[in-house]
Amino acid sequence: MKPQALQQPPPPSQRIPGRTELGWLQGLLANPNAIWIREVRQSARLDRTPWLLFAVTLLLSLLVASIGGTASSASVSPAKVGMAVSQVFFSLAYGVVTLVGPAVAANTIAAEREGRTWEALVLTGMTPAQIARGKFLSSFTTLSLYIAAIAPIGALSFAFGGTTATETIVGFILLFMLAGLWVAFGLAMSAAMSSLRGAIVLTLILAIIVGPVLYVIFGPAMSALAHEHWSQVPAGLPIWLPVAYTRANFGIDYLVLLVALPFVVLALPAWFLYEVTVANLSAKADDRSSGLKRWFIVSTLAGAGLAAAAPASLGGRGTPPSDPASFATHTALWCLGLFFGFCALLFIGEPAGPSRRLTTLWSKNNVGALGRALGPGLARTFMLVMLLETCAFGAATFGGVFAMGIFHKGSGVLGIMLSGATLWAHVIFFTGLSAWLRARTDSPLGARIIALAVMLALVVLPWAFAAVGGIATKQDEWLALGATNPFYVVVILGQLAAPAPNHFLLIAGYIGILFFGAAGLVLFTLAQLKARAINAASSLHYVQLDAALAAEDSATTTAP
Amino acid sequence: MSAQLPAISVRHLSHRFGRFDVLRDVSFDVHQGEIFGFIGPNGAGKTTTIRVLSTLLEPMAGRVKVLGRDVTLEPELVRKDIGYMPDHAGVYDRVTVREYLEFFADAYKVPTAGSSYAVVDASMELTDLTRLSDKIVSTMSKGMKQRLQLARVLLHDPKVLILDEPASDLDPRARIEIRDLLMELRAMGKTVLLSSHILTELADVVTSVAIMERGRIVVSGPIGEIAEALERQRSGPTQRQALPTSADSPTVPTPKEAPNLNSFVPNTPEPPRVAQRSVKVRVLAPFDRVSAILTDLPFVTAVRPGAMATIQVTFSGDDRAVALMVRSLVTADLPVVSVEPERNELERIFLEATRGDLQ
Repeated sequence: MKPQALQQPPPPSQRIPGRTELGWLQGLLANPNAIWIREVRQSARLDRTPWLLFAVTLLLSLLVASIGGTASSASVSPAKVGMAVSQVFFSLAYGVVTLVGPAVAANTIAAEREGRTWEALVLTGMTPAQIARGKFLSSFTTLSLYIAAIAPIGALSFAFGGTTATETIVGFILLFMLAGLWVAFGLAMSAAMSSLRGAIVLTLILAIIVGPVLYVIFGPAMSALAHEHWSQVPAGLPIWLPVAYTRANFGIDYLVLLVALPFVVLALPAWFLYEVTVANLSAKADDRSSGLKRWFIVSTLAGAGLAAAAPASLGGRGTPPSDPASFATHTALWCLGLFFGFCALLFIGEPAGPSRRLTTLWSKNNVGALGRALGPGLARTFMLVMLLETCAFGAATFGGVFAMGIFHKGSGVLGIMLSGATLWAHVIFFTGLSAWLRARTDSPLGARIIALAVMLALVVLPWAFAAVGGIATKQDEWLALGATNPFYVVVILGQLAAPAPNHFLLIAGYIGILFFGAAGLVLFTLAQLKARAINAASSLHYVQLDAALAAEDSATTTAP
Repeated sequence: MSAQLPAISVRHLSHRFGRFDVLRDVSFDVHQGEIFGFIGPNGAGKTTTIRVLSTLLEPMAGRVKVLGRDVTLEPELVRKDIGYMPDHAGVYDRVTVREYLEFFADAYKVPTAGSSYAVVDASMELTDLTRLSDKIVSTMSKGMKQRLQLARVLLHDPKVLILDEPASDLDPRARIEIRDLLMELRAMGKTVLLSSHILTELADVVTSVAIMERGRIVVSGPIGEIAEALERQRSGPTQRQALPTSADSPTVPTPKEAPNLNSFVPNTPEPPRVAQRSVKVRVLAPFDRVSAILTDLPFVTAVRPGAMATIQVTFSGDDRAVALMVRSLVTADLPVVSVEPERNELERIFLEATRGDLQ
């Protein structure tokens, strides 16, 4: 036994240089993430891995070959058969990625917690971000193995023609990017749950529901829109983006719609999932907010910019409110409403204020006002959310009004402004309600459930009463009850378009806007006061504790 | 590091889960170089305290420092100084002992020379795992897995080791090996906080103890001092707070939700109790003869045949009474082979200090 050997690290000259000394890529190669290496090693020793790979490859080969064979037996050109084989292959590969990626990733963090290895890992000093990256890399490596195993099947389409090598390569690049997104989704779910079975089951259920929906929306549905813009892109193809890259005319629209937009559509959710994972891996006293707030700010700016620019870029065909610019504005406003509703629920997880640990760290590191503003705290978070909500709705409404001014000489402007105001008021109300509920309860989940229940009640119940009352009395005025929910904007737009608008219904809409906007601000103010009181009580407690412990120390020191 | 600075300082620690007070004004110190036994029945709050010490749980009230660093404010720095071995910790499947330790060495960012992990080798040697370095960890016995956990927590050369029930579920041989290892670690200058509810596991290794019951520290300090305090208690009416604890302190503020920090010391005097002790005497003589001599002594209250040819003698008094018993037997020309306490010191302290309540 030579215990002293433990305390003899090699001299600095023999040490492997750190990442900062070598540069990021060299550092990554020289000092790879420890979790990644260990998990890849574990996967390599898993007996069932080769059998699973074999089974997936065999199944996929049989499916693609049988579909290709069936198609080629009909009187269609080989090029069409090749295209069909390619589409079937990538669709099935998407299915593999959608199922295997989340399942593999969901297994990682929850397995550490359930297997009671998590505490040992945390105490090594690895940061949540390092752990998340290691877990991502290991799951992504496993999924890449599956993609690599099935890749040769994709080459079957070359036997028939109809697709180019570039399209196939782009298809694989997109497949790897989607694989990354699904792995990030699985990790986020895994980080939020402590039960392994629960994490896998819930992740798979969501993947099975969400995967096909996304496939239809971003596949056939989007290909129809792409076909309208670029006739060279066939309509109805599920895997149209690789084809669009090679066949669409290069220009600004190419860069915006085929490069920037897909990047944003993939990058923003991936970033969000990463931040959620890191936040769920961090301790409650740590900063779990800054990353999510940065994502929120960037996403809002991107969304607001897109919402403001979309109406004007779509041209001035048709008549308001059924013209593309009006449609785009209203769609953008609703999308923003849903996004902000989601973000209000997301930020319900905020604590009343930053922990003592964090404030100490901020002071130690001289963190500035901006850094602190991005940190945890109910009031500052919901203030930011409300501010950005107002800016985003303002930008989207302005974009619509601007487009109406250019294309339709101001026609439809009032409708757009009322739509924007109605949705803004309800979003502000929901945000204020979320903040107030969070300030009143210790349970974010409870606050989320109550907030959703209140919103659901405001949306559903008034319409039910209005329907019953309207049928019983045959009077339209009952519809005014619906002013308690954002869908009332449909009534407002209908009345504005009517030759003889019902002013009672319009006034109800205006009152609804004012009431919900004001109620949201009042609820937020109450939440702010409550959070301030909680933070003051906490600070006072620590001041008193410090004083009492100091007195105790002093008594101990002076004791004989 | 100053010699006076305690390795672990726990001051007025309180915590609750929901409405359940798990820790109530827990205060104790662990000095550097000690093997400190943290004793209490299941559910007493030992693991919660240990999780706070290990930076895994933020306490609701109180202050905990490890080598002068606050576990709440500087968890990253505290983690560098501690090695925490949880009870029933898991291991990774499909990795060998060496790979397992190399992973943690990398995770701890322990300096390595190229591909050589000198620290891993040293750690395996210390815990006697070198011959098992290529064994898959999931196939190892519980005892070997505990050794592996110990090897893991030693990789970054922590000054303070926090071991939660390190010998639970181990066979007698593995327990003895772990105990020997602890002695070796103490010789290396490590401070060890060892929690257990099995007193025999701790009796031979600990230098100080804290006994916990229902979320409170009943008694804490060096074993000798506690034993002396108990002796003083036996000699007359007493109160429980006469035992050495860290509770005699000024009032400390309590958050609204936290329990009353200083409420645990019972202030009502308990009725005087007659201190009863038992010793096991082995004498090479018939029981009746020995019994006749001992029952004549005024402080002996009962003499019964014990196991393994011993005689159990119950008496009131301290060690002087034991000396008088031996003298009486020797004077009567009876060969006394051995006299030993029926319970070891730690067991005696535990039984006298606790009420036997479980949460």
